[in-house]
Amino acid sequence: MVVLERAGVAGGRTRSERRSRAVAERRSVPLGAGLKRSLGRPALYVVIALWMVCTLGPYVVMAVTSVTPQDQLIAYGMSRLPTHFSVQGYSELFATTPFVHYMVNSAITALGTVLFSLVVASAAAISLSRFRFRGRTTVLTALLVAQLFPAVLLVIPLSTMLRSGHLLNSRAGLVLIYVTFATPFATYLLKGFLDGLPKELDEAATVDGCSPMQMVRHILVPLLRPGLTAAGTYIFIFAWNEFLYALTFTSSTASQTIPVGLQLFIGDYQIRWDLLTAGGVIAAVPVLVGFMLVQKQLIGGLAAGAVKG
Amino acid sequence: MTTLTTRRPIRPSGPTGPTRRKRRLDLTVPLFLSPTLLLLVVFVAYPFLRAIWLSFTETSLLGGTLGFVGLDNFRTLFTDPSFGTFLSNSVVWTVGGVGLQLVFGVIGALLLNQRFRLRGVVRGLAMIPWATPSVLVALIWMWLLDPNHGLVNAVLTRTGLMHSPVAWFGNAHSALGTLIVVDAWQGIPFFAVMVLAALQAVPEELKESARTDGCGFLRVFWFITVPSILPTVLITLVLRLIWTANYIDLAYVLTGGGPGIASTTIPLASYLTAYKQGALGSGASYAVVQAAVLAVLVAVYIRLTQRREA
Amino acid sequence: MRHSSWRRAGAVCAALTAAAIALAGCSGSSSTGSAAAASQSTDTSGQTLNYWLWVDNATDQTWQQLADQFNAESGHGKVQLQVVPAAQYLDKLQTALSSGNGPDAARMKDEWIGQFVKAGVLAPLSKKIDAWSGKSSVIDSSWNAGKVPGKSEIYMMPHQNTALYMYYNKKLFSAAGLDAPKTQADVIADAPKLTGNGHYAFDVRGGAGGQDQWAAWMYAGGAQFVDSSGKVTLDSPTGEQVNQSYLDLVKFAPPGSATAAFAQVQSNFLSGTTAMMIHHVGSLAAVRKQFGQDVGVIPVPSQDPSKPSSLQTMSGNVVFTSSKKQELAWQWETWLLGDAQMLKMSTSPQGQLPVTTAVAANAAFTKDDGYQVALKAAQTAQSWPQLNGTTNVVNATWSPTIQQAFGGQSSSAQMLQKLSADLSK
Repeated sequence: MVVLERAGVAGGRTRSERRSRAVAERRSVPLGAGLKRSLGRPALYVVIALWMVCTLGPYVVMAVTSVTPQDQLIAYGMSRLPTHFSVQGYSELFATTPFVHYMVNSAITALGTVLFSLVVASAAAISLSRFRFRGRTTVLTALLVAQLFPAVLLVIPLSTMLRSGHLLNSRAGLVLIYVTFATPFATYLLKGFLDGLPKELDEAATVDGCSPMQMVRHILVPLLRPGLTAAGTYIFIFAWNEFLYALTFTSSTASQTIPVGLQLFIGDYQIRWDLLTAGGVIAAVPVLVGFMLVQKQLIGGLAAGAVKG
Repeated sequence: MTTLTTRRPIRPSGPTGPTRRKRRLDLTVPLFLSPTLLLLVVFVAYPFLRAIWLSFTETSLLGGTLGFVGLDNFRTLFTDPSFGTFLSNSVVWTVGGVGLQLVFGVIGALLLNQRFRLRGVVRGLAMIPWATPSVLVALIWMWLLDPNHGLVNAVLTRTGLMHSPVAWFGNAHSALGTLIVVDAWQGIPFFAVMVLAALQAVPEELKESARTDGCGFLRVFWFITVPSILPTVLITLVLRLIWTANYIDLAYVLTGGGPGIASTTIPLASYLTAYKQGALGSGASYAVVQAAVLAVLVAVYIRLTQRREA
Repeated sequence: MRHSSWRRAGAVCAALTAAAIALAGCSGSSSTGSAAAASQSTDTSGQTLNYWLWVDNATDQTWQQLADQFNAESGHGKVQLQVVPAAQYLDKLQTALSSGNGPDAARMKDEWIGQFVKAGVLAPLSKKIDAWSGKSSVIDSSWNAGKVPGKSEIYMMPHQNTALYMYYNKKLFSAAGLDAPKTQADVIADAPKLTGNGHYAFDVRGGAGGQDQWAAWMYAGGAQFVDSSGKVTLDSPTGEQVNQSYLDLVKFAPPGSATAAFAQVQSNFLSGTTAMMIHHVGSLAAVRKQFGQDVGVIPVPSQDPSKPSSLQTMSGNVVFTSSKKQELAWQWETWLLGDAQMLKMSTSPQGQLPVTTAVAANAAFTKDDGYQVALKAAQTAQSWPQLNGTTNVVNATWSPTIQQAFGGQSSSAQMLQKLSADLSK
């Protein structure tokens, strides 16, 4: 699903990016701070603070709940701040629930997907960016369209297919499906990145007598590394967060991922909010840390154009 | 789905390629593209066709395929009095959710485009809901909106805005609306980033010259900024419409489509029919209807992206 | 593809089962029978049974303790438990079975077996039961829970019987100046007096599992689900009237009750938010721990106190035809019916009524007033008709249907017509 979100970014980005970079450079000269602007300043900070409260508030509530003693939650809910903190939710989470299994499954599935999808997507991106061939536009369109099918439509036949391949309720089956649905966008992202790398490099290499394969290996792949980081992050988030396929294709702790596990918790431990929120905090942390680490690259790339043209 | 066959004859990207190089290229492209194409054919194209076939059969989860029933599933679906509700829920959910995201996403982008202290940090933090698993988003809001223990009801009743707690997800009048708000909370950041990226490309000199010509903020926004970001906004909009229309995670976890069918959309009806009632064939027919409706949006989307590529 | 492989698997398993039974019979009657073959069919040591269950109390370890005890014994294989949340139990079980990932054996309710029997995934057990020495120890009527209408074959080993009754919060009732309700008219008259200041009368539980307390109310009100010929008669005028009285109670239910599942219902009752709760002895321990003597146990109020009724559901154990460990499954399921195991389960925090005569005579049940009410209720309680459509009604369509009626989008009559149509499918 996140696939869809980002595809548009890659879909029509490159043209404006070169321009925007020039603009960005010009912008570093301070703009004439008009009267209106300086008057609007406190209001701007208020609005932004409000936005941050709405965005981050729910996470803070979740974190506070997870360390609130269970008896206080039952008695007062969230209408009072906890008098003391308790990590019982966390210790019980690990002691009495299969949460560790869910985490391991999520980590293996997500990392496996990143690995395979990056290989597959970079190959496709290189051929789409560096070679012109008949059917190229068709392939590009197919990549787009592939992301737009309703998951509910595909999930039913996919489950019977995985069953005949003995891949249901296995991490391998999930990885296979995730690679399929993460690859189109990753391809687009990497293709956009490659399009921004100067063609002269390849030509110089060809003149130097490199074969196309050598050109790919010695010139493109090393240059692609920053693009791979961004695509890898995206794929990881996609696989770590995916719910519908995991819900349908897994039936035991051997393969259930964190989103499925959390959802099962909601069914079984509805009144144990300390436990539920502890699970939530642990599920959120890896993605948040990862995202904060690479967000500069992602947003910066979007804003100023990740392409060094 | 578009056919992916013709990819053999290849012209090198260089000005003129000797025949030797042409042959090498012949191998490179198919080799590099085949894994992706194979995945798409096996796990997208084939299941797509199979889903269509399933929708013409009576297939149950436990009993397997019992036989071909022609258009029976579709006849049942269209004559089901609930179908109208599913359809209108789908429209309200999609338009409502994307509408909120569009409005607040654009406002958010304009804010993030201002210069202020800690802008980088704020930009990063604003994006967090986008990187949060949908089930976790559901869990957080389930807790915040819990009728007996949740913070929102506690605050609203204490400040006297409401005299008794409201079961936001348990009331037929508020369930879908509440889901839409949660969806918007999760989806606004993405919209904001997209528009923010587009805003970077608005030529500053144009804005400057418009300002020197005496145009106010609104006029500059309307005549310079809007035309410049419009293509991005349009594509994001179409994408979000498709994506939101297909998005069932939140409703599945938070309301299960209830109370009654008050928050059941067509794709959710498909999933529940297939996996809660075990009627795979009938469930597939809902999904086929959904895909057919979305095909229109997909066509719009392809036109938009191809025009931009050209 | 799926169909034929199911059939093939079914045929193979049926053949294996038949062979196993035949061999077991042989070895019993003649000691000179092929010892090697016999031990192959009954010696299950080295095997591990994959057994699915739901638990009524997520923190209670009784099931695991029983499994550990079974696994410590020699002479047979081991059992591995997989606990699935009750609300999703049936969905997950069906999906797993259809994908070939199903368990060997599972905990099951009588109201669920219709669809499973029709799909041919449950192993028939009558032959084994007839040959089993423990058959006579089981209360005779319990066997009916494992049958479907029109067939004498038994598909489920009975294990724990549940008869629903009502808990009421004595303090809340006396604070409102009320006595325990005896009739449904009492409940309806008391409900407004018990509601107010953050207190509510009763959770109508429109979410997962709520169909059982609703059915108990319906039966107690004199509604009939099927007539003697098996025709669904739920939407009779009586049914409509009793159903309407249940729907009216939503006005005196806490917010969220129309979509609540057991977790919220129990939480509301234990925190004193609601004054009444229809449930079974499975929550007796938790309720007593919270309230001590301040909680009362009474029969589900009926239309006419001289004609009490309620719902009873049997939770039992089934073996799937797809399993290659039929014998081990049989060993585990009959082991659970042993006196010590039955006593341990029935007296555990999630225990219900025993199905063996010896344990039912135990003082733990004959002296306890909670169990007394339940045992008495069981004498007149009725079950869900085990129709093919019942599985779907209790698992999928009941909740949305009654939620619409709670919300006023459909009438009592429309709701019952819909449910009748679904039951008849």
